[in-house]
Amino acid sequence: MSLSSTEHTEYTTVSPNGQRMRLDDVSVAFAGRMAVRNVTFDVEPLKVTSMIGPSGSGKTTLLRAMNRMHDLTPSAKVSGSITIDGVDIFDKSIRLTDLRTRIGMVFQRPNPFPSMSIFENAVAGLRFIGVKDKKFLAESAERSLRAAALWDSVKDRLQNAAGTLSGGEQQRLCIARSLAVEPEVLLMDEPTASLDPIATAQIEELTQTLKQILTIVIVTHNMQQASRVSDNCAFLLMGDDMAGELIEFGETTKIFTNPNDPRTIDYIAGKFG
Amino acid sequence: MTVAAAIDQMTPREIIRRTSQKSGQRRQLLSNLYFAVLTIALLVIFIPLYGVLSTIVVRGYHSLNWTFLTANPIPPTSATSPIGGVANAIDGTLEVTGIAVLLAVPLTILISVALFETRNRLARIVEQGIEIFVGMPAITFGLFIAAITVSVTHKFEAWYGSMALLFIVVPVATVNMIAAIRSVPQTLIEAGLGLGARPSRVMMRIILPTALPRILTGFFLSVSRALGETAPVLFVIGGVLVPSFNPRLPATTLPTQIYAYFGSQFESQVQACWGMALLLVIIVLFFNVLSRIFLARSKKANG
Ligand SMILES: Nc1ncnc2c1ncn2[C@@H]1O[C@H](COP(=O)(O)OP(=O)(O)OP(=O)(O)O)[C@@H](O)[C@H]1O
Ligand SMILES: [Mg+2]
Repeated sequence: MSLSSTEHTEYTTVSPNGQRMRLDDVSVAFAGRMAVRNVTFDVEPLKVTSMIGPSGSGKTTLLRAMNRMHDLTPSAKVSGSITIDGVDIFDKSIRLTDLRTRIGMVFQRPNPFPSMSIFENAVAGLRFIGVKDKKFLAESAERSLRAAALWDSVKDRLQNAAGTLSGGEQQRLCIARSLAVEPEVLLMDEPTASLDPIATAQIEELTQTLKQILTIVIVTHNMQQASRVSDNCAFLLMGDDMAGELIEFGETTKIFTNPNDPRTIDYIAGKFG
Repeated sequence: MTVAAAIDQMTPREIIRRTSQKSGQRRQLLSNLYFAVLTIALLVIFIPLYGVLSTIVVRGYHSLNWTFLTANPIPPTSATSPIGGVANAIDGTLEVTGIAVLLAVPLTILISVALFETRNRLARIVEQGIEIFVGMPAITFGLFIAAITVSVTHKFEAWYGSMALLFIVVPVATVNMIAAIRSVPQTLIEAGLGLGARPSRVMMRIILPTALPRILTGFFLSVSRALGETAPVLFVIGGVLVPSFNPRLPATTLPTQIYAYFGSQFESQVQACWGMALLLVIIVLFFNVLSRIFLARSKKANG
């Protein structure tokens, strides 16, 4: 299950384009009810940042703020500033469609497009932005499927429906689909929550390869996973009014071995124990 | 020792077992009765269902021959004189229903997508209106269209009938199509938007293809209904004995021909009604099978 070295050399020859993102005093409210409040931390480029915390502490909410997915929800209000490469993501000069190609997203449950083949899924993002060149599409498909450690197992059945893949393979296809548009940041919301241990380990390994070329933010309930894959870690917890707050942010090793806040110790100890 | 005292000394488990044993026979009986009633219900439903179908087949099948399908009607003069065929009604049905479908498809797609994408008051009012139209008696559409066409132009034209049928096809197809596109998981839409697709692309490349089988099923269903409608077209298409192949001229459809023939004094024309009914059933069954194939394919594709 370990990645062969040939699997990712192709992709790592691409120059790294991972960007820094910065959250400054970010709050998100739904219909006036605060879901997460005053969060400030830096997502360092070419590193993996994990978000941990109990259910309802606002991890997903925060993650979805980072690629403006809340624009879909009329009742949602995001305040504070979120920047990528120093530019506010809400800035008028940034088009939403461009932003979303720069900040990819992988969801909790694998969600390949059921009406498309494996190949079509891999290049869907390129098609959406208007790429038509067949050769370019074919090369991109191979490059991103290799980067997602899926190429060898699907190269002979690229035209099969995406639904014929296993759950783990589907999730890697979704990662490949995100990689195809060459994002600078990849947001992953509990990407292994519906996968078995082997598929989980494969995705975890993948994050280590991918962080050579892009920035990763991963939400997880699995403490071992957070400590294994992430360089930095943000711990969120609900306050008295049930709005999520950032309790502690720092290097993962520090958070897991010597945190500043007793609540961090309690949570991590409880989850490990 | 009294019964109450005995119960007092029993463990919860013993009480449950005892109660279960006591009521066991009654529960078995009720259970049998339950399934007996359901089986009877199925039998009762089976009789009209297959009674209608078999009557139409038995009485209609010997009408179905080449002359019946290709010849024009000949008004009979005696009980044994030939009555020709129903080519006029086949042409009329194709014209009237065909035009209705051609117009209904883009209209339905436009309305459904608009209702899906806009969530304002106007959209809600429109959607409620469409739902009301699904349940409206077809003859009201016939009356309405007659009032704005025949009553004004004093002419019967086939396409007036198509207009009236639109009121049948579009609401049924739209309600189905909206349900179909709303059933596309939100996470697929977010995945599309997350890849930088603009909303129209998400609609064209993700939502519509994913919902396509169910959308088609809705169209087949609505067309099947329109094929058999008499009331909406009765007042506006007039009647002909030869195919006009022209929607600006009057027409006869299979249902209106059945309507006209069934009151006939000649047994031969009454007999032809069963042939036409069978023809309609075959066409509708054809659509039914098509829609089943699409549904089965979608189940396979979506896992
Ligand atoms: N669309 C929405 N409308 C209203 N409230 C919402 C919405 N999305 C999230 N919330 C609320 O925001 C709070 C944070 O939810 P969120 O999903 O971000 O938590 P989470 O940390 O991701 O939890 P989990 O670990 O269970 O996924 C919750 O109280 C939730 O009910
Ligand atoms: Mg979540």
